[in-house]
Amino acid sequence: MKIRIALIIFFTSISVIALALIGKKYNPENEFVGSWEEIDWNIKGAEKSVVTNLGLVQAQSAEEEDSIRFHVAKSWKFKPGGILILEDKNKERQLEWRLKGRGHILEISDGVVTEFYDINLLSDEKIELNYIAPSFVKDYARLVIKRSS
Amino acid sequence: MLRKYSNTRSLGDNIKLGVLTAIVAGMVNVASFMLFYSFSSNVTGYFAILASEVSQNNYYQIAIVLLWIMSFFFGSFISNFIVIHFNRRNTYLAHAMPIILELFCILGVAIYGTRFYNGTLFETELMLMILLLSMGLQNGLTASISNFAVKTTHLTGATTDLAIVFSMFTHKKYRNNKAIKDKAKLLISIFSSYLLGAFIAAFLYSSMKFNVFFIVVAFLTVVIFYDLSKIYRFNRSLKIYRAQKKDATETTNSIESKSKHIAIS
Repeated sequence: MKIRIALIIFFTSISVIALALIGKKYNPENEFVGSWEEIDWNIKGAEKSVVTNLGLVQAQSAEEEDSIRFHVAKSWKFKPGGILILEDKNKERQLEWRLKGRGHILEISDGVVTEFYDINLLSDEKIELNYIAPSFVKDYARLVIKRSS
Repeated sequence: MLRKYSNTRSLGDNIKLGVLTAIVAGMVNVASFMLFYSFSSNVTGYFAILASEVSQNNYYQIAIVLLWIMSFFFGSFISNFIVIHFNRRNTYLAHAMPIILELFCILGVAIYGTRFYNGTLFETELMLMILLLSMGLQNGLTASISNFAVKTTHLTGATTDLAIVFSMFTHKKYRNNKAIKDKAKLLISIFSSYLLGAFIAAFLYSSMKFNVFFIVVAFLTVVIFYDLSKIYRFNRSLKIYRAQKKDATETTNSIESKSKHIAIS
């Protein structure tokens, strides 16, 4: 009987702690929602690196398609419901965004190509994203965006 | 495969159970990684992640990882609970129940994923929780009924065991030991089945997405009905045997009474 009570207390307390922790910090998805300004693309290129621009310019060759694609845009608007709008001067493109795993992976897709970014830093003012490159691409890229005022 | 318990199980029983459940685990793990970017058949990594999230004060992630670990724990707990409490009433049902629960968990993920999934973080976390629960159920059952010989959802322990077995084969004394050879056969079948499941899921993922889980459900159905068919066949044979025995007894009795009657007259 004592063991049964101990087990019930154990399961309940773990669940309560977990739910309390979830309640303490709101969902990471909500932190993304809003307008963000691109401030830095830190790129350590490799032999095959070709900077393309999925957001606003199409890849020119097959080699470009195999390489890291960069969403160069002045403004990144993360909207609820998974809509991402990239704006640069007069150009605009709509993509989809989702968070995966435990909220540590950002998935961006244009419906054809899907990219994954490891969320290195997520704060009210700044987001740092590390591009997760396919194993055959030896590139490294870090994108930093800050919240637009 | 499911009817026998602990030391009464043969190597064949363990291999059959190991092969089918390892295929399931391999498929679920790869499918969940490709769909949700997180593993669902083991929790070792999550303990490391938990420590990392604690050090960074990421409360939300701490809670999620804690709930995932607890789901796996709870699944294994329920499995063994069912086995030890209902084993005497109906062995087959006690052993099949965790697999049936696992089947419903995975079927739920498959149906929700194909029809309602919007890709939100909450859905992702919840579905991972259900998958971890199902893998906990599976691992708890296989470990429990096989006396800890069969564990199919993760390969860390199996890798260690296989390495030990292989190193034992280098010594003349153990080379022809039947128990060690049997252990090697079991571990190799679990490894190859897990890999096969992983390959199947990786290969089918691009075209099937969440539908991969329906194939997993099919494998689990085989696990459940394989033994049920054997029980059915056994019961039928027993019925036929009893009927034949009854007929034979009746015939003998009638012959005896007839011969008595003839003798009297």
